[in-house]
Amino acid sequence: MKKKILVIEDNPMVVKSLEFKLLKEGYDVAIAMDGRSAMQQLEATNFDLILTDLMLPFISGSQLIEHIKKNHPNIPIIVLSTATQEDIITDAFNMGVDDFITKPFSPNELALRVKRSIGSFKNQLSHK
Amino acid sequence: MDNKYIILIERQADERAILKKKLVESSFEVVDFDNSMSAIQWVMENGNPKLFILEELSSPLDGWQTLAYLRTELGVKSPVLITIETDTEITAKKSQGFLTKPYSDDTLVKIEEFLYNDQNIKESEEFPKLYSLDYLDELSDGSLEFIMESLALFNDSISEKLTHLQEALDQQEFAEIRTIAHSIKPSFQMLLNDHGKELCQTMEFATKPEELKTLVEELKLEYNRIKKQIALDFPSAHI
Repeated sequence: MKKKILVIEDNPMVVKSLEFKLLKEGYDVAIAMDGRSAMQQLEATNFDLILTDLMLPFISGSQLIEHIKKNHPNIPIIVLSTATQEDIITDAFNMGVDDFITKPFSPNELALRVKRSIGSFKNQLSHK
Repeated sequence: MDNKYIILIERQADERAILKKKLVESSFEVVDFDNSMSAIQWVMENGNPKLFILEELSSPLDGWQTLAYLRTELGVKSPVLITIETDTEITAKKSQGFLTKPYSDDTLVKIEEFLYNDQNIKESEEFPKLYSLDYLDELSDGSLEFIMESLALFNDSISEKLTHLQEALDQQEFAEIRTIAHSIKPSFQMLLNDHGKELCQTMEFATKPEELKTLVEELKLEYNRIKKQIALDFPSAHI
């Protein structure tokens, strides 16, 4: 069965690129353009990975990560960041995110990091 | 028609006077202006100068617009040095020669080196491209459909966000300005447009209303330039 990835990002060009690349890599992709929509989708669907921006409409990145870690602690999170967000990325790691990718992402790097994070999720579950 | 003059465009009278004095003392002949339109008018009447020194933030056309006008409308091939703000990323625009303020003896050395370095003059004739499809091409393995859709998304989404940006500026909502700048920055990066990226990046950390106003205006101009170029490059794509 295809792995499901939730992309939480408000830039349509970034969304389109991520969707294109992830579909090509064989994943199922769901899109949330803001934090509220992300929370709704998280309640309705089981995801294998979350890719999220940290500056989103309605709900901040830290609020969103806090929510995911509390309610869906086993889903790995990759943060989509920009090069100027070192402090925010550090905070995100302190909150338990698994990895980060700088926008605009390198296509090969995205594929590798997604595969690695989903792999770690699978390992985590198999050890339980 | 070529002539021996150096054209200097600089808004600040004191900086203009300092640089002009240094150049004249080094036997250059200088015609100076406090605005870009007067300089363009002078070129139309008197021909191509030996060198342009354009302040990046000149008005009513900024340094880049002035350069574009000189190159595309007047066909002027003269070498150009752009005076940038000290915190601008110089390396991203390496196809041009650059100066920084305040003007000093070092500035004069840089100008002389630039003028007498044939390689620099050759490079200065290459106007930096407004955008590139290299990233989108690599990402999509050359899918024309994906590239066209992405360009359409750039046009539509940035246009909408610039409207929101102006509204946020009018309401002095600085947090919203930072959020929008952060959100649209990757779009410029994906088209490999460094100027737009830098404007967004500066906006993310700018706090003074006047500075933000200038940045928003510059970003609108940059967006319109890209949009116009895309329409020229892909006339049948209905972008």
